[in-house]
Amino acid sequence: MLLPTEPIGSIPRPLNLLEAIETYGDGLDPRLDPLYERATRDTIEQFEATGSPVITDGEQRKYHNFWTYSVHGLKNISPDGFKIPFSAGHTRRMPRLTAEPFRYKRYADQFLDLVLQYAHVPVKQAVISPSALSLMYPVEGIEGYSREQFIDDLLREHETEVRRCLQKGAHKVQIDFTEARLALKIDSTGHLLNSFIDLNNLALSRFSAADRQRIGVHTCPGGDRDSTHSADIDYAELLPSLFELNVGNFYVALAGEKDRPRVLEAIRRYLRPDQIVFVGVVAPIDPHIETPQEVCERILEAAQYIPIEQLGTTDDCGFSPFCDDTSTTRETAFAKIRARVIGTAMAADRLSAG
Amino acid sequence: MDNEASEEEQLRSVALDNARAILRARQRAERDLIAANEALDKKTQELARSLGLLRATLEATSDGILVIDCDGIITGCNEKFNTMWKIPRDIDVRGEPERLTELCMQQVAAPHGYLSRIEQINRSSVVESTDTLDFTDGRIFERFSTVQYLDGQNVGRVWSFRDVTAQKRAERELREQREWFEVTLDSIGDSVITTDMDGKVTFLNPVAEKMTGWTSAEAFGKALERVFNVVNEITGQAVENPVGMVLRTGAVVELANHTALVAKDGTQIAIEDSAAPIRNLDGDISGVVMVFHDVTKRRRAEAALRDADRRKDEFLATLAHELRNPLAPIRQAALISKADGATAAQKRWSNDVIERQVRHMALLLDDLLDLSRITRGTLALRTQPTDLASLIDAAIETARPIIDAKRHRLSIDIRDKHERFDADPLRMAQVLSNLLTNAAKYTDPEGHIQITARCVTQDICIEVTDSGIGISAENLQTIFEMFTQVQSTHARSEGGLGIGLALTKGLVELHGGILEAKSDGLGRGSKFTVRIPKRISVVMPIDRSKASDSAKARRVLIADDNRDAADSLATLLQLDGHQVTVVHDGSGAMAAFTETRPHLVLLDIGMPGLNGYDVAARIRQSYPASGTTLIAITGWGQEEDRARAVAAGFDHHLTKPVDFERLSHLIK
Repeated sequence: MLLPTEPIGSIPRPLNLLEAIETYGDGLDPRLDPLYERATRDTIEQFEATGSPVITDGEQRKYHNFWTYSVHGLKNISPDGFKIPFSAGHTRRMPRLTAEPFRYKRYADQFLDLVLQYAHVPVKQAVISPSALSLMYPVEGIEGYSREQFIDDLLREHETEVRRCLQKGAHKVQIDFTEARLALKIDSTGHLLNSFIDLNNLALSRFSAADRQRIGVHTCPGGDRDSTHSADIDYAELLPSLFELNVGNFYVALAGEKDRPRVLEAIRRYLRPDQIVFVGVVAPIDPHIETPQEVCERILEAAQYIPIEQLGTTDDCGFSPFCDDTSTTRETAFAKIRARVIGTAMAADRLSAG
Repeated sequence: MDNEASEEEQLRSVALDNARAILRARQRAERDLIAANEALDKKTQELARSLGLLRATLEATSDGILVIDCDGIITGCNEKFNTMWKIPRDIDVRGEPERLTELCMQQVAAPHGYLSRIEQINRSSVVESTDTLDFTDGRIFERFSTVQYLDGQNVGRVWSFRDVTAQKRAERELREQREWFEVTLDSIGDSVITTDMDGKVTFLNPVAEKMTGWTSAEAFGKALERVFNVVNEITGQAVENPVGMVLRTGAVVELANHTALVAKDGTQIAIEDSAAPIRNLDGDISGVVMVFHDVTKRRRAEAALRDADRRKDEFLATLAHELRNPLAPIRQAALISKADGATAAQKRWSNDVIERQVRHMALLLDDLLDLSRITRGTLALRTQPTDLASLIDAAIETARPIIDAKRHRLSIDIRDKHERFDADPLRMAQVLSNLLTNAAKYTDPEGHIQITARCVTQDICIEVTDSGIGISAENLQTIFEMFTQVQSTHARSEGGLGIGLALTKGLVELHGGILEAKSDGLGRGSKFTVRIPKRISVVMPIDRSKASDSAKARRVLIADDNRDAADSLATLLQLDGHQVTVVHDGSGAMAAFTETRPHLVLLDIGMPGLNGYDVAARIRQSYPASGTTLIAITGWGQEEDRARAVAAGFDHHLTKPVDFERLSHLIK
């Protein structure tokens, strides 16, 4: 028996790449292309070396981060959007839409072009959720461009991005829904979270059931510079709504949770039969490199709550969602991934043995 | 902090504003979804209806249909397919393709061919295929297949099977029927021409090809009038072709009398036949068939029959005349003989006249009877070694009176005077005397008649030549036919029935010989040649003892219900000195026999009560040692009659009228 195991996505960028970005002042400078390619190929090699059956490109070319890569460089945005405060004390500010129309600057499928040339195993591609980007519309609105029009454009652009990734052969397309817990933090009534769920379901409804089996949703309390933005929000409040999303796969941070049994209990309660949940078994923001045994134990624990045929493993979060995050080294990231892969195999053996 | 709180409030505001917009978007989406669902439901219903109609259509068709996708998976079939292929109910053809193939192969006559053809079709990806399948149970299916396309993509193949057993059988029967029909038309003796409904020739059988001079291929499509050109055989005028009339009236049309076909080379052939419409299954006329045949021979035969009939009529008239002629002198002589004043000389003369005329009539009747017997094949010859010279002497003796009466000069040239050959001397003498008599008749007085006889190899050749009126070439062809009389066309008829030469020829042929007539034409005489195979001649011992018996008086019993015949014969025998008893029936004969114990009994066969056979049998039975000679007197003189008489106990068999000389000889 094999337990499926997949990464979340980002791997810390090589330092020489980060230095070059800083030097050129813009991550989109064409002179960076060779460095990006080298970083991507190296990431693929190291990823495959971990034995991970599914890899990513480590999001080496996602600039500047997992949230804004698709709109970075648009002329009708300004950098003065809202701030996301992290527990480490720093903030990340999102862009703001200043004029119509809302269009992506790039779609994530372009990252697949390179990785698919070199990868020897299935490749997963992560995209940002429409609910995350919905926060770009300014509070005062845009004259002649209603919020409804913006939402329509947003859904269309998101659909386009996901469909292109599927068509190019992504093994899975993972929608990063890291703002789920943030939504509860902003609006404890749950209305905002539900509206995010609705928005994302509106997007997902544009895909067939077969496509949705290749689509997943990742949620976590955020991970940047070894800190979170919403870890204080109770998972149990999130999960009932989360599993309302019409996708076949969920990638849920678990390794860093304080009360894993409580979370697993909630998952067991709300997971639908046609859904697979990939629980996080390594914590990127934890400097400690988990041992395979530790990973195995976490899986066996999860298996007590979740049917094995609906259980998979993943990382709690990307190892470097923001490109300039150097809090975790590439070596640590791959070591943790290796532990996940081996620990998952061990757990599978244990579970098979009964 | 205030600034941060403000930003957080703005974020919340944006988020909540977005939530409202998202809600509206969701509501729109839900409305759209509901509308889409309704549309989908409608489409689904329409699709279900279409599928239902499609299914019903598939089930309504008389063909068995099987659908296979491009991966070779069976995706459907109609019920007719299962029925036609006798698929058991418990087999799901979709789930058990191998079982289906096995079932199908068990039923077809050539299972490997069946399978290889399917593989060939699938391999070659032909768009359409058609072939036939023969089943072991005699059924025949037509198998069609066509590639099924969906949005331009090949999604599989549809196979349809049609039971064409009845059609194929009908085609085969039609083919056999046509072959039979053509063979029949080829083999029958009549000519057959068929046309289409426009009167264009469609077929000629070989006989018609021969008669018209057109081949079927040449004539095909041509107007019938060109090929079947008919005229009145007497006037030569064109007559209406019957096809037009048949096409107009739809009735069978007989050709007019005296119709002649003008063949391609211009020759005319007398024909007779009819034309009839050819009707299709709806009863509509689709063409005409003409059947005709050459009646030339029949026309000739009819003419010959008419001629024979004419000659028969002439013969009957002649016969009546010839039979009536002697009656007048007989009646007159009888009156003279009975007259009180008649002298003895007159009475003798009267008797001579009566005897001569009776003899003449007897000869006529003998000839008629002989000819009848020859015709019926019942004349039996009493063949024996015969002396050629004696035979000719006898014939000359018979013919001498007429030869002398016309003062003809008779030359006789017999080269092999002692030659003997197998013949009935009486009949052969009759042959020669007939020829001599004819020669004398048809030669002007003081003519020359020559009879020559010689042996040529194994034949006896006798020629009778005269300097008479001769025979035309035309008459030479018919001179030996019955009722033919050369002189009937001439003023110089010498009387007679005109059966003499026919009788003569028949007698010669009975001897295995031939009789020929030659003449250089009218007025240039005639020559008749008889050639008889000599065969082996065996000298028969002659019983001289009886011949040397001297005549003496005998007791004779005559039994005949014809009183005149019995009495006259009794008188003749009494004049010869015999003691005669006369009775007129069989019972009287038996009584008289017992009483008189005669030496000789003359019994008429056809008596009432006990007939002659019965009386003879009883005499032989009652008096086996009497030694009485029994002689049958009868009008029946064939060999079987003689044999029957011998079987009854008769010693001799004489035919009426009784040859008195022969009778006298027997009594002696």
